[in-house]
Amino acid sequence: MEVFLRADLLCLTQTPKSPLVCSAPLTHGKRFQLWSLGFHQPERHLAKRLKHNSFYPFTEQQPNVFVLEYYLDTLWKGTLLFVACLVVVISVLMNQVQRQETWGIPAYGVVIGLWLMISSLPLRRLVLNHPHGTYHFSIQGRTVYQGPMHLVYLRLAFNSDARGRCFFQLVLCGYKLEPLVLLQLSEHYEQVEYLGRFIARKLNINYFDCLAVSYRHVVRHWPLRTNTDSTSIAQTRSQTYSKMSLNL
Amino acid sequence: MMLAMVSMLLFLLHLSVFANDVYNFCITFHYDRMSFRFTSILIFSQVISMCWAAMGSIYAEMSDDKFLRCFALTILMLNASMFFNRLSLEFLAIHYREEKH
Repeated sequence: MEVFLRADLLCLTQTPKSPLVCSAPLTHGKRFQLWSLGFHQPERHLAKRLKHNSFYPFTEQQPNVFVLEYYLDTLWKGTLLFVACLVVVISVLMNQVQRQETWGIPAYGVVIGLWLMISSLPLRRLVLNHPHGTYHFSIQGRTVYQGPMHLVYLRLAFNSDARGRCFFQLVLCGYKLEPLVLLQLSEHYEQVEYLGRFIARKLNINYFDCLAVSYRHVVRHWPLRTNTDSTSIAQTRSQTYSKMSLNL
Repeated sequence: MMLAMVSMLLFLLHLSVFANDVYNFCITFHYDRMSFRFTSILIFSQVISMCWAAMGSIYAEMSDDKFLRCFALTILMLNASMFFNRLSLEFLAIHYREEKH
């Protein structure tokens, strides 16, 4: 089963590349593509998506310029929480419990849901510009950060449950970026690593393994050495290779 | 930062409710003006505020900002003390709640 899936994944490299579509307007459906991660066999799900678009989740606007526009998944979670708690508040207001005002508890849910919804409504836009050597992250047109390419990376993250079973996920993160989970909770290390290296090669960004010190890192962009002070270079390296923070 | 700020606002709200309750309980003896109808919401809200203060303190410890760390820890301690004060007051005032026959 695993060999068959590996061969299936390998055929990603053998399909001919589709001709470039220059300056096509980004469709609205692509903004929600990060929401569905596939619960059963997430590697096959991601491999299928990579077959359709080899620069998933980005789209190539110009040669070596990749653009990603997305909404955070807290949008639907916040909306769901808001609607559910609003229903509970209205039903609780109808009947009281022991002369206690209990509508306050779902009212908290309403406020939190509203906050999550409003904070995720602005559209996020991440642009990887290789000819310039910078990446640009903006929220609804307002620039959050623009920096060098070595600060964006793809990380294989590692989780384990109480019994010792290991779960891996692929996260695209960077400095002042929101971590984006591309593959969630898979147990097959080799397939996840293959997909991660494939995506990082296509997008030409760094790829890091789950351990902090490992021979499996692929570093394509190094931090710039601006001055000869060795301590600042060491600080830059430790910041670059520090462990990522998993999103909540 | 946001979590610590929200926790501070909730703490100020709980502090005002607590001050009103203590004033009505100890000084003016107007027991019907105390906040007995809202006890469940108040306890829940104080627990939520303490949890948010703890989360904000964890995030503040991850960043190396000394002011933010002190601020978040202070807010956490204030929320914890407010929670215990509220519990003590509720136990002291348990016989003064509404009569049920």
